[in-house]
Amino acid sequence: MSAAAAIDVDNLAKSFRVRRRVGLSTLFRREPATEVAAVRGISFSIRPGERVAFIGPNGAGKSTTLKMLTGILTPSAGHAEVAGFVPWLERRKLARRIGILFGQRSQLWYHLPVKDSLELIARIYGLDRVHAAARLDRLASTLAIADLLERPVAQLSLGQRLRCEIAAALMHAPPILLLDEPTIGLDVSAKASLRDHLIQLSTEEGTTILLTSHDTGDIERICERALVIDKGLLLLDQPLATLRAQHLRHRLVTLMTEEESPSLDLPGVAVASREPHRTSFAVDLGLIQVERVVATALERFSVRDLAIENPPLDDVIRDIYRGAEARVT
Amino acid sequence: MTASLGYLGALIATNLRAGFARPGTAAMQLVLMAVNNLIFFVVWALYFERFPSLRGWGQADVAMLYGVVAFGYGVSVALAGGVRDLARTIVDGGLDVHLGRPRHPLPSLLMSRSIPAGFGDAASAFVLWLWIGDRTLGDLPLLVLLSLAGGVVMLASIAIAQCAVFWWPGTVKLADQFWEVLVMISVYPQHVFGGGVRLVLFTVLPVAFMSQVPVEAVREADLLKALSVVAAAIVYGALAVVVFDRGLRRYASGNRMVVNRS
Repeated sequence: MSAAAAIDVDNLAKSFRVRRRVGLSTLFRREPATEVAAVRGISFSIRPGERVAFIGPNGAGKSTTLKMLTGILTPSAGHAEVAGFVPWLERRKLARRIGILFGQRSQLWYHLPVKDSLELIARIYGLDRVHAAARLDRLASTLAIADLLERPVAQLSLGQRLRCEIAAALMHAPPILLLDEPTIGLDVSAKASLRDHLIQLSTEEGTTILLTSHDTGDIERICERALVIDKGLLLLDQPLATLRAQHLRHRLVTLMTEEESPSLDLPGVAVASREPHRTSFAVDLGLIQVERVVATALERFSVRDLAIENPPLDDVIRDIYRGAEARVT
Repeated sequence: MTASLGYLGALIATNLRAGFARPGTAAMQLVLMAVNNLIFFVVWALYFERFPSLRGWGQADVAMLYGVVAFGYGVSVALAGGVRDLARTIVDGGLDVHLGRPRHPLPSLLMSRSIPAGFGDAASAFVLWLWIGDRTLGDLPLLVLLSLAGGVVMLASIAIAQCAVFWWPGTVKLADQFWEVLVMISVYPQHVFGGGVRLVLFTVLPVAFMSQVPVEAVREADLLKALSVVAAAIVYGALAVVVFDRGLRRYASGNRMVVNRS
């Protein structure tokens, strides 16, 4: 265990016992349980103040790992310490040192104004009124939720609600923030806004962030380092700059133009898909910058709309796999 | 201790605010429930018009019993209505949010929902006690205390039944039926039963402590019976916490979209 680590994980594993039971024939006959391994012995360490992405496809073991690190689940094997506590043995003590956001779950009371929920959360953590009010003011300003505090949660958009959820997770000023799919379901601008707020919080308060995501945009905008997990195994643990250089080499630029089928004869640019007045170009970042491609397109065509997208995470994982296989052979 | 009481007070206040967030609807539910209880009692009035005694019990005794159950159950679900969703919350992985906090998760789970109609149940109890049950204002403190203790026994029994999903996740609907059965049996006089059935009513389905024993304690001014109801509340309350904590070790979480809709 590293003495100064905010999060230290050593050979952590979790398996679930699953019993298949379908139909009346199995009513009186007990099916044997099978062990399904969700996490298969992963190890990593995160320094205080570091922002780390924990990425992988559905069922990779991200959320299970996060739940073990918060003490919600007890591992089948291995050891972990978060803020100096063993999560599953000291869950309630640890809760004072971490903030948790499950993107698919809410801490807020649906029919009540946001402020009511945040004030209750302050009581849960035993904050006195003066500290709670000061903290609420600070979070309201940083997360731009001051005008949402008096509105019932039921009336908020998903993006607004998630900003309020982050405020709820940070009311007790935890030094470590664990986020499970924080941008799930958000539109492009809401995602960008949420990412900016998270970076600002982490920079100003030195908060350690570990987030799981499907979205390569989250990883690129928020994090300095990426842990890639798939089928319960840690495939990769490297700084984002290295990951970007090795695996996030492409962007997809989609143009909606007056011209029916525009073409760009630039190095590193290839047509990925084409429909009348809508063309997608795959851009190899190793050969050309996206800005140059966009500038050239605006210069040559009548562009009605354009979109720049990251490669889907599945492509990144596939690329990582290809790299791993190539190294083996 | 003070911080814990402050937290519980804030939890109750928030839960009630959420329950009454739409005051018109809440008031309507409350009034309709009170009227519903009184209409339901008409069946007993008709019975006692034809048969003046049910093994020594008259209409006033049954009214007192019905009021005790209505008050205990009503206040329980008005303050801790989350108990009725406990099994579903566990199966859906809804404990995650509560487990991430530095408090025991059971109070916040139970008080995650308020059912305003419960106050209608409680209001009907006063009509049943004072008007039909022939009790005096002086009887009210003891009736209220024992009804609340009975309500705790009911709440704890429902919570224990709902916790069965930790071991058998397919029993969510069974847990729903359990509280319906519990309430249904508790509004009938139980002194008519004997032997094995009585044993069940004092243990597995502890409805005796929710209705029969509190009524006997008031009717007979029996301190021992009154204390036994309070003791049952403490024992069943503690048992619910133990069962929940044991079940928590088997909690496997989940990943569905859930918002705290009260």
